[in-house]
This record gives sequence, structure tokens and C-alpha cells, in this order.
Amino acid sequence: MTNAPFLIFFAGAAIAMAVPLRWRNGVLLAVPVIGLANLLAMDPSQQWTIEWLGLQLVPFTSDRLSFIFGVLFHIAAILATIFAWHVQDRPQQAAALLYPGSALGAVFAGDLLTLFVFWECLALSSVFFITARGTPLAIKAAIRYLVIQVLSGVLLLSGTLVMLDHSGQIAVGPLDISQPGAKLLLLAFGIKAAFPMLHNWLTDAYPEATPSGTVFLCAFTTKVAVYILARTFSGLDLLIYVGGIMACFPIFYAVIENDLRRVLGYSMINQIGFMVCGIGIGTELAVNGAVAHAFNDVLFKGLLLMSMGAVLFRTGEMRGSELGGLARTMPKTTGLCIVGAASISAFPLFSGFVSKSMVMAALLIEHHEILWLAMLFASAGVFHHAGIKIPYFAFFAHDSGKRPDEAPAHMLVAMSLAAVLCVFIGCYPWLLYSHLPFAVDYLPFDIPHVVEQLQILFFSALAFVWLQLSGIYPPELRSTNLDSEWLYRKVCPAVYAVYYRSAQHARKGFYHAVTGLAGMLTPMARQHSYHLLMPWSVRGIVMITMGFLGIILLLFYLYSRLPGG
Amino acid sequence: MIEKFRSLSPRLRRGLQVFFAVCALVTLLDIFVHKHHGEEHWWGFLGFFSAYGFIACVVLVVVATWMRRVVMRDEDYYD
Repeated sequence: MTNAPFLIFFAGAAIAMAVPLRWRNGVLLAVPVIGLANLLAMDPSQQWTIEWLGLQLVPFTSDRLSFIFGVLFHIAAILATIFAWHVQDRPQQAAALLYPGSALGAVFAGDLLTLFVFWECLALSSVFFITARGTPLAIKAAIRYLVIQVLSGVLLLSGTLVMLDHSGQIAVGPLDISQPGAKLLLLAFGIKAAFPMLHNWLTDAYPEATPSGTVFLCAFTTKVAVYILARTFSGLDLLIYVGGIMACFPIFYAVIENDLRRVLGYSMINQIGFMVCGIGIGTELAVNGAVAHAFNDVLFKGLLLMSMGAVLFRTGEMRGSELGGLARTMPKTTGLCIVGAASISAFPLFSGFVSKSMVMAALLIEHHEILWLAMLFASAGVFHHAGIKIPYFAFFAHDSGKRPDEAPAHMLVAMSLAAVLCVFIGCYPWLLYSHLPFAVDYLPFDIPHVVEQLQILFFSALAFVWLQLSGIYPPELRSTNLDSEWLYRKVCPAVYAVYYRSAQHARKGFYHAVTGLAGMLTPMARQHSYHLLMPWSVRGIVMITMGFLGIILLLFYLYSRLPGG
Repeated sequence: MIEKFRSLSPRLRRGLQVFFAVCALVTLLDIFVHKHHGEEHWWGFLGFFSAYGFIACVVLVVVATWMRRVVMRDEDYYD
């Protein structure tokens, strides 16, 4: 007997909250393990349908695409739970099951209304990882995060209602962008996938979360968005270019960013760019590449964020300008971080190589040569900022004088498991390949390709060495870098402040004018029995209101009679 | 730059020399590797990927450093 994965997680969350604290971590870990066993034993073509308010809803359905994301989310939940073994506060512990459960609900949702429900659950459950940090900065970032996530949900619901109204069809499946409501859905998915200009919630909120919270956050929200884009807008040309921009622009920010978890946030947008681009190309090879890359990204980005989480946990510091030289006392964390760095940089025999190269190959096959060059640039950039910068500024570079203890055992276990998976997939990709949505006819380890990749990587490293030796490389500085959030954190409040002041000014002016005029007119009105400025009767007000409503009704009627109205 | 290289510890200097040699070696591998089963591409010339990787990173860092003049603010800019 198998069950829908989200039910296991939600029931598990209820049990975990009921049991005493000393057993709670056991429950938190048992749930995703049981869930994974349930998923692997599941009949792959299950579907549940229910009737609700005359709508045919499909709260659970499964195919190859949702299955691979389901497996990924279970593995991510297991790794993150082990990493968060030290956490003892209830909101974070509840979120540790509710958040992955919501993500699983979303990838197994068969209709857009069900998807909307889990979409909002994702937003609501994940915010606790940010608020749990407890600092005023984190609380403010959490509120901004929640507002943007809920906005995405509202857009998703609006798009769903438009589609329901137009065609009555709300099944989750391939969409045509010209379909009514489809653009709203794309925008909703785009916010969660961190499309350019809609991306800043990610780099704003993720670095403010708790050390283990960021590990949870990086695995689910954006990958649900990648899943749903692959499901609905596969082959949409626009996505190729959106992906290209996503892969390229964040790397500039990553180079100058001081907060190392924010560097990884920008790097995450860059990696999602490769996935979105693959989805946009839409061929079997490209979509396989996008899905495989999403799978690998959760593992290596999780590993990198875990190593940074361990540094934050031990030192309370995440700014590159204040870190350095930690390899002396945290050698194991350093080694594991370097495995993550090699994987994200797509070194041959590490996981990033076997998936990113599929997207790159698909770009060439479809003759997007300019974009291929841009992605090659982005690949070199990834190595530069994530592969070299993260380990270098945290563990080597100048000696910060900090001598923290090695990461706690549970963190080392979680990081080691992630590292083993990164190397395993990198050396033996065929197990992953056999579960991709389409049959794989692709050889990652052909010699010219391996040589090309090595040349790119070694010469990126050479550039780093040269820039460091010649003093051109920008030092880590305590700073904030303006990004699109500047629009809603500075410009909008400033515009509102101007509006508010001028409105207040106008109101005062109006008040003075009216009182002045009334002061002038009242004696005249008294004299001439002029009733306009006298208190009005209720009957008079009702009559005037009725009159206005009547006029509006008439106008509306006339408008609806217009051709095309 | 040369002085800075000389001022490094002997171990690091040795390591970097080996690294430079490896860089040269992977570039020269182009001569022996038959690219893409006879397909001819405009980027198929010797050392294209090496040059591209190097130039890409230098451009990235130089542009990013230049970007700092426009986008960099105090650490507590938004508070």
C-alpha cells in the first residue's frame, strides 16, 4: 500500500510536534526515509481524482518527471535534517517536514488549484527558517520574502481562474503562452524560479536564514519552479534567452559580494539559468539536462551551503572580509567544501559535469552559438566565484585569526553524504540518467569534451592566480551592492513618502480653503437662508447616492452594449 | 607581479609552477585530440577554450570591479 508523499510528511509533522523533544529528531529523520521507501515502491502511474464544487481535481498523480523530483526532494530532506540535528526550536522543526512535504505535494499535483495550495504552503512553511534567525534584519527579510512569495501565489491563482473561466481546463500540463492566463502563470513560476529582475527575494532572504535553514531553502522552492516550468513551458523560446541572462548577470554580483552565502545565492540563480535555458530549448536532451542539473544542483549547492552553514555556526560570521585561514582548524569542512566547489564548477568526474554538458550540447545542436558562448562564459564564471572564491576566502586567503572548532559530527555526516553523492553521480551518471524523463543517448565523457572543459577550468584558475598576483582582483569589502531590490526597498518608499507628504500638504491646504470659504459664506448663508452649507438630511444624502449609482449602472449598461464591450 | 610571486613561500611557488605546467599541457592536448569526429567548427583552433576561459574570467573581474563604482554602498545602506 503506497501513499501520496505529502501525506506522509504532513502526518509526520503532526507526530513530530506531539512527541517529546528527545525523540523529535528521530521522527524528523524517519519520515523522509519512510517516504523514500514509499516512493520507490510506488506504482508509477497512480492518480487520485476527486470532485469538488463541480471541478475535477487531481491531488496526486505521478510520472517520470515528478518521480525524479520526488526522489530528489526526499534525499534533500534527509541530508538537511541530519545537518540540522542540533536545532531545537519547534517552528524550524515543524517546517523541516512541512516545507519538503509542500514541495512534494506541488510536484505530484495534477491540477493547478492543488498546485496553488502547495505553492502557498511552500511560502508559509519556509519563512520559519528565516524568522528563526531572530535578528531584526532576518525578520524584515522574512516579511519581504513572504510578500513576494504570496504575490507569486496570487498570480498563480489568477492565471488558474482565467484558464478555468476560458477553457474549463486546469490540468497541469503543456501550456501555450498565447492561451489566456498562461502569461500570469509564467510570471508566477518566474518569481519562484528567480527570473531576472524577479530574483532579488532569493539573494535577500536566503543569506538571512539560520545556518541549517538555508540548506532547506536552497533545495525546494526554486526546484519546484524548475519542475513546473519543465512541465508546462518546455520548448518556449523566450526561456532560452531568460536562462541565458540568468546564467550570466549574477556572476558579476557574485564576484563583488562580501556575504559568502549571498555569493552562493547569486550562483544559484546562475545554475537555474542553465536549467531554464534547457527547458526553453525543449529537446529531449535539453530537458534531460535541465532535470539532471536540478538534481545535481540540490546536492552540490546544498553541500556548499552546508559548509558555509558550518562556518557560520562555528564563527557567527559569513562576510568574506572577516573570514580566512579556517582550513587550519576546519580541515574536514574545507575538504568537503572543495568537493562541492569541484562539482558546481563541472570538473570531469564530479556531478556538475555530467548534467551541465547536456544543456551545452543541446545548445550547439540547435545552433544557438552566441548563447553557447555566453553559457561558456557563465561556466568559467561559476568556477571563478563559486569554485575558487568560496573556499579561498573562507578557508585560505589572509589569516583572520579565527580558530573555530571543526564542524559538529552531524554536520560532517550530512556534508560527507552529499559529497559522496556528488562524486558518485559524477563518476557513474548512468543511474541518474536512467531515471530522467526521456531515454538518454548521451556520452558525457567523450575525450574532446573533457579536454575542452579542463582547458576552460584550468585557465579560469590561471586568470584567478594572475589577477591575485597582479593585485587587480577586487578585495572583499564590507558593503551592500544595489540590485533590483533597490526599486522596492528605496525607490518605492521614497516615491510613497513624496506622495504622502504632498497628499498631507494638499489635504491641509484644502481644509484651510474650505474652512476659510465656509467662514466667509456662513454669515451670508444664514442671511440668505442658503441651505447648501447647512447639515444635510439623511433623505437628501440617500437620494444623491441613489442618483449616482443609477448613473453608474446606466453607464455600465451602455458600455456592455458597445460592440466588443 | 614577479616580485609578488618571488615573495610566496617556496612550497606555494613550486605548486604554482606545476599548475602552470599543467595549464600548458592541457592546451597542447588539442594537437592530439581529434575534435568532434571530423566536424569542423570555427572555434576548433588550438587553444580556443584555454584563451576563452582566461579572457572570460579577466573580463568578468574587471567589469565586476568597475560595477562596484556604480552599485556599491555602505554595509548598512538599507537600515
